[in-house]
Amino acid sequence: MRPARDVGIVGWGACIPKFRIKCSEIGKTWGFPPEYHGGLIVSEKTVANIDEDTTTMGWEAAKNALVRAKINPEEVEAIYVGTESKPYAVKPSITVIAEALGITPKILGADLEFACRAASEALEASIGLISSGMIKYSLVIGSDTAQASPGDVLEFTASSGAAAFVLGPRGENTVAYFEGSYSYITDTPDFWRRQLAPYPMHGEQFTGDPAYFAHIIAAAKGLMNKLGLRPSDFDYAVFHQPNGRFPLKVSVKLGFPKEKILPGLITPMIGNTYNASALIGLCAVLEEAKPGQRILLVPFGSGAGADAYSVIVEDGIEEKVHLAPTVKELIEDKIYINYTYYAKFRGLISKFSF
Amino acid sequence: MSMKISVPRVWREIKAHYLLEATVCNKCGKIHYPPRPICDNCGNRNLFRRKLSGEGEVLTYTIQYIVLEGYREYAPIVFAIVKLKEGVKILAQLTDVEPENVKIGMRVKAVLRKICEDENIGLIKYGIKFKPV
Ligand SMILES: [Zn+2]
Repeated sequence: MRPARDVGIVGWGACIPKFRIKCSEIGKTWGFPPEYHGGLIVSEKTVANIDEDTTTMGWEAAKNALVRAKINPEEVEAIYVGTESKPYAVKPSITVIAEALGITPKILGADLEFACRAASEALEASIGLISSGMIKYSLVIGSDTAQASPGDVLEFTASSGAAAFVLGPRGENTVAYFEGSYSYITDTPDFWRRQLAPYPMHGEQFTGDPAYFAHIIAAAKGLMNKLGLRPSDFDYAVFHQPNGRFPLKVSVKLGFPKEKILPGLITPMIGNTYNASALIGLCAVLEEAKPGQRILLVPFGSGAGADAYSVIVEDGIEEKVHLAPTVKELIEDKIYINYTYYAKFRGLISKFSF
Repeated sequence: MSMKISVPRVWREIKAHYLLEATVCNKCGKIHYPPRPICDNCGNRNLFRRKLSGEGEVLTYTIQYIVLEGYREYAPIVFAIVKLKEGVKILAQLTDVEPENVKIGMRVKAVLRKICEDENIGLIKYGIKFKPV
């Protein structure tokens, strides 16, 4: 898809909670063999503090994105959060976020759900709204405190974090723009969580090839065909990263060399932040990319769908990098916790009250 | 029954709790946080609202180990007097810092965090806390 008028990124920001648990600590707790998690290529993951959730992390990422955008927050006319860990089943997260950013009430917005690609849907919707001239700026947030059943292999990777982007019409204040996108969605039963179920289920045989690989490859190839581009035309590629292994494997299948993947491969250090997974990767790439470079971005969500975007970096990006904490700085700022604290922070144990 | 959050009160205090909105006396200039309708310095009733910066330093602090019902998961809670760069001193919780690492003079910034939850069916109360810069 190509918008009638170009739309770009005005500001970006991430929120990476400070607490970390090592995967070896999780494995030891549940009696997995040492290095059982080795194949996932994730060594540790973030843990949201007891007072953090999708709303607060989304706010923090958005705040950083607005600082980099250097716009008056009141100029934002739409706000979306993509999440699969809403604090309330019914009551939007964006109303709290928007109120706490001071951008209510003349605003459009909603919480979107599509497993890990809801925030990507928000990107597409915002590109449409801005391109049509209906609004000027949109705030797109991907935020999750990913659930994993204690003792499930998912627990090695499911983590917490958020990423946010201020999108606007391509112009003097945009630091990158969307050259085009391509979406690919089917009904695939790879992962789900039913109403009131605290933890998701995964359809093991569907997780890899029919879901992640099929959708990402179809979206990426579809985009490259449409735009007449090849892997060699891209300087970076960022894929959804449920673990460290899948993005490396999909890049081989698509023909991207490792050095184009590694700058945006963040999951090995922080785990899978679900709706923020590929988007934190994009933040990290924007923090080192040079004007004129081209980035392939492919978020994926179970259920299943993927969107491939070609993003071209523009002038002025370097001046915005250090206006807010970088992904690299946020990764390094950490406190390790043991499984007991992890269990408390994740609500696996809580004080019983009458 | 444990904690119960007053829904109207949470709603009434949203601007103060989410945005650090204070009231400023247009006569003597005193900044009031939490916001007050009447200036306690000069008695003036004509105050205007202003968002505070959220940047400051820890003037002093205390650590609360014995907490109110409903706050056990959050304990120990670090309460600090934070002096904002506007000069106003406010009482707030610190977060993302282990109690032994809190220092007087430490630079902090405002972040939106969960204050408490009314069990698992009631309201979630959000507000500003401060974390180390
Ligand atoms: Zn006064």
